[in-house]
Order: sequence, then C-alpha cells, then structure tokens
Amino acid sequence: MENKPWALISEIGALGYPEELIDIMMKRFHVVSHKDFLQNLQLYSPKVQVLFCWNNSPAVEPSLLRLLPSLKVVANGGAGINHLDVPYINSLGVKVTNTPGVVSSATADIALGLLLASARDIVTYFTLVMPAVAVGNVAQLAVDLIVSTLKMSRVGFIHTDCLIPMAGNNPYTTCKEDAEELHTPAEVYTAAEQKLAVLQIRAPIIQAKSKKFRQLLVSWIKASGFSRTIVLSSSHAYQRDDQQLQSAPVRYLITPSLMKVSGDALKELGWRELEKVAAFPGLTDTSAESRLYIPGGGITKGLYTDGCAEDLPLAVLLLFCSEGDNIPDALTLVNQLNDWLHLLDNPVSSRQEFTACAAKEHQNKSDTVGPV
Amino acid sequence: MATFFGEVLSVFSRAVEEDEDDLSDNEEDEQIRRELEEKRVVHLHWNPEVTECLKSGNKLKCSDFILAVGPNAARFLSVHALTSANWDTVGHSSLWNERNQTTTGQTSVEPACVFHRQKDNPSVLICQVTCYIAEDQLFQWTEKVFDCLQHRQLNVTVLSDSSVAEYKAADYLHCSSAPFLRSLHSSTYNGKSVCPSLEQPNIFTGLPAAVLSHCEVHRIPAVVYQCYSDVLGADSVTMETYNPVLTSLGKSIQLDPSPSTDVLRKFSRTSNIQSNLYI
Repeated sequence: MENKPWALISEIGALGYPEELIDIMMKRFHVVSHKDFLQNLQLYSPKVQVLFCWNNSPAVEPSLLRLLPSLKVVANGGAGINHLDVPYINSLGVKVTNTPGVVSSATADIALGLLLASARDIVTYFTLVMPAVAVGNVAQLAVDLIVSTLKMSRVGFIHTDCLIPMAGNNPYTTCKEDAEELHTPAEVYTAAEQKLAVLQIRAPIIQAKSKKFRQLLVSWIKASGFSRTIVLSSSHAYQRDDQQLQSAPVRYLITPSLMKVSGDALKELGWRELEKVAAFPGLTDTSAESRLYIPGGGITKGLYTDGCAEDLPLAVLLLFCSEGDNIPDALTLVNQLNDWLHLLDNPVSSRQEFTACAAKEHQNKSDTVGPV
Repeated sequence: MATFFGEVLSVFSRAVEEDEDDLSDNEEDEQIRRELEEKRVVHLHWNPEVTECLKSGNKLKCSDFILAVGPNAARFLSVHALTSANWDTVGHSSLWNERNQTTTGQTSVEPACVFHRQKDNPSVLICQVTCYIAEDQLFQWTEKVFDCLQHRQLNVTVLSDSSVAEYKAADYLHCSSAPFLRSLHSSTYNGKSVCPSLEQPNIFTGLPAAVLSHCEVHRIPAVVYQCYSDVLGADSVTMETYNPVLTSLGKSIQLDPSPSTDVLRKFSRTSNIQSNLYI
C-alpha cells in the first residue's frame, strides 16, 4: 500500500471530481485535493506524480506545474485537450493522456436527437401547474388529484428554508411496495405525455420569508423555461363584494405576457376575470382607486404581481370558498383547469379518485401555523 | 376552530392572511426585520479541538449521527449510552425564540442542545435536543449541523418524542395503546426497520422532518423513530419504548442494554414535579 503513487485532483463531489469514482482512485493512488495540496506544499509537492484533470480543474498552468517537480502524467478526463498546452507540458518531461471515444456515441445520439427534434418541432415546453397555500387547501388538493390521476412521476424537490419542514410516507401509494417512499414539503412531478409539470407544496410558507419564496419561485420558473405557469388558488368566499357574488365562484387572472397567447382561449371558455374591489368600500367617490384583493390567498397576489413585473406567462385560477370539506371545491377547480388544458378526456367526478387526497387534506390541515 | 358557518372543525386551517409586506417597505421596518432575524440565528459552539478542525476546512469525520429530540429520547440515550463515561461533550448549540429565551453566555442549568462524541470511536456523534426550536429555525439548525459533518459514509438515526394526540387513525379505540413507535426513512436507507412505518395520513414535523428532508435531498441514509406517548414529561415507560432501537444502534456504539436501577433513578428523578394541590 505504501507503493501507491500520489495523485492530485480538484475537489471531491459537487462540481469537482465525481464522488462515485473516488473509491477506485483510492485503491490505486494516494489522493490529495487541490486545496489540501496548496495548504501543505512542503509535504505534497515532491510526492505528486499524477495530475487528474476533470472539467478543466485543477487548471494545468505553469504556476501549478512548477509546484510539481515529480509529475509524470497529466490525465485528462474526456477526449478534448484544447485546454492543455501539450507542447509546454511535454517539454517538462510530462506525458498527457486523454479518454478518446468514451462519450462519442452518446454525443452522436444527442446531436442527432436535437437535429430531429428541431426539424420536427418535437421539443415543446412544459406547462407548470402549482398551488398557492390558501383557504381550505383547495389548490393543494387539486394538485394531489392531478398527480394521482395522471400517475405523474416525481422528478425533484425544492429544498428551501422558506417552508415549514414536514416528512411523510407516499400519499399517492398504489401498492405495498411504493408505500414507504419519503415525501417532503415541496416536490416537482412531470407527465411527459401531457407536457405537464406540477409543483406540489405541502407545508405553509414561513410568513417572514414569503417574499423570498416568491423570488425563488419566479427565478426557478424562468430558469426551467416553462411555456406557461398556472397558479391554482382560493380566496375567502365571505369577503366577496357585490359583483363578485354574481355568477360561478371561479375567477382568473392573467399576465399580459400570457394574455397575448391564451387570451382568446379563456374568452371562449367564458371565464370571468377577478374583479378589482374598491380600496375604500362604501365611498361613492368614483375617482377612488380600485385594487386587487385576494383575502386568504397567501402568495397568490404577490406571485401574480411579480409575474406581471417580470413578464412571465402566468395565470391564476381561483375559487371563492370557505373552510370545511373542500373536496368538492378541489374537484371544481380541477375540472375548470381541465376545460382549458384538456388533460383528461372526461371530467373528474368520481369521489373514489379522492381517497389519497382526502387523507391528504386531513393531514394538511392538522398542521398548525405556529408563531413566527 | 369554527368556520364562517359556525361548524366546529377539529382541524386547523393553513389559510394565510394576505401578504401586506409591500406596505412596509421602508428602511426602518427593514432594519427592525433584519435585527429580529439576526436575533433568531442559530449558533453552534464547539470545543477548541473541533473548532480548529473545522477552521482548517475539514469536516468532522462521522459515521453515525444520532439525534435525540425531546426529554424521553434524550434520557434514553443518556441512560443507555452516555453514562458509560466514555463520552466527551464536544459542543452545543444556542438559539433564541419565543419559548426559549436563554441567550448565549447565560449559564442555564443544562444546555438544551448538546453534542457528545465517543472517546475511542470519535466518528460517532450524539446530539440531545430538549429545547424548542421554532419553525423558521429548523432548516437553519439542520443546515448548520450537517455542514460540519462529512457526508461520506454518514448514517443518521433520529429518536423523537411526540404526543399521541398528534397520531391519527381511523379507529382510535383499537389502535395500539400508547406509547408506541413509528418510523420513516430516507430512500438511501437500507437498514431493517424495528417498528411499523408511519401510516398515512400521519406526518412528522419539527426537527425530525427537517433532518429527514435534508437527508433525502442530499441522499444520506437516515431513519427517524418517533415515539407517540400520552405522557408529556420524562417517563420511564415512554423511554423504554425506544428499546427496540438498541439493536440497530448497538452495531455502531457500545450500549448498556440493561442499565442499573441507580442510573434509571438518577434520570427519572429530575422530572418529579412536586404537586402543590394535595399533601
């Protein structure tokens, strides 16, 4: 074991050297990371014989090479060695190796795939549906219904300090095998066929951090390149004003950027936009400003305002409701959404589909919002 | 709570008031908020040896991190592991919130969140938490503690106390009598569970949930055992409910499976509150 040569690498994990390969490395080399190396030059400098270069890290530059008098090989992970000054390295009596061919077929696959996709217009972007944590948890129930009905698969988490931590077993369990699957406060699901992504939020937002959470969502939505975002929400029914009391209790809001694309579709559906309410109800002064008011809607208003300001294609679909058994409300909301997106051929009506979600509601509500 | 129509619900709503923070965007409010936030920061205090190690950019080599949340879980570890005098106290964490007002520097009788390390096997770290950590501090606490630990080969076990009132079952009368254990584990955990898994629609909250979420996202093997008990304070029957966990913990640390009565008495006496109602 003492005969193993010393090897210099960047860092283990993250963007450095792949963690899963480190055991193989350890078998054959004494490994020293770039940081440790620099901290203890006297010890390592004469020992290192191999330099592993991964993602161009550590950078093989004269300043580093000067510190490596015993170096014999610079081993580059990948085929390309344009980033290495090979003649210079060779002039020091050091050999350069690379790994030609290992990713050639994968590169070719991707190149051809992208060619076909762009020629045939295959890549269409996903629609994001997400809930706002609001009155009666209607939106979260609706999202649960979508996830379980479309049998969507979980693709990621949003791990943030803005949400109150919670953990539980699989709420969408279908058999014994998948029951013990851990679920966390905010998770992302996709259904590739429907080009649909869903963000489920299972915990309340820490009030002092709601602004931070909105910013996080907006930047995530932008980075993910969703073609449109639909925020499901609810608002206190008892706070409606006279005009809001008329007609069905579903309303929408749409940012100018999505209006251009989907405005006509919504008009055809005959939906009503959420009416602005008087800032000072009772005053007949017509010059008084009216404002957007979504009581009990959590981050809905803020998210919509941010969406307008950031030019996001975003719509809010909301329902006026009261606390209680909110399962029928969730069904209403999902069926409205389905009229627009055509996710399912038939409207959802069966209460059976709600078993998982009914349990979920019980669970959601029992979580108190503590003092912050 | 009661709804608008007067129905009384046994559940709470998560409905949140409309966010009015755009009204208070002035500098003074901002400053007050910032100061409040600073006050709620979680601090970790390590002994000089560990501090030195962390300063030089290394993380604590840790194969097993055992976390006890609540008086019974903490006492369980005290009785079965920490009494062996084989342990060093290596640090503690301090935090301020509404229910936990002892600030840094104040010498409370026993620090409420202490880290212990085994003398002959320093890769086992035990943490006992008996204080209240507020909802907005849970994530921060977890991030800070795990930031000190090396993630390779790390295994996490959490023991946590909970009230049986938190446990929901369709059939309350026939559900197993309290106290009982339930567990949840991260997807990378492949050990054998010593008790039933948590049934829907129950969830874990608080520190166990924060730690478990962190481990799930960072692919660290972790298991949480929660004890649902009908006794609020320290209680020997509740404490014994954790006994099945001894078999799995025994692989990594030396445990005393049957502590002497003296030890047990020492740890249960402190909770005897003298009643002032009857003689």
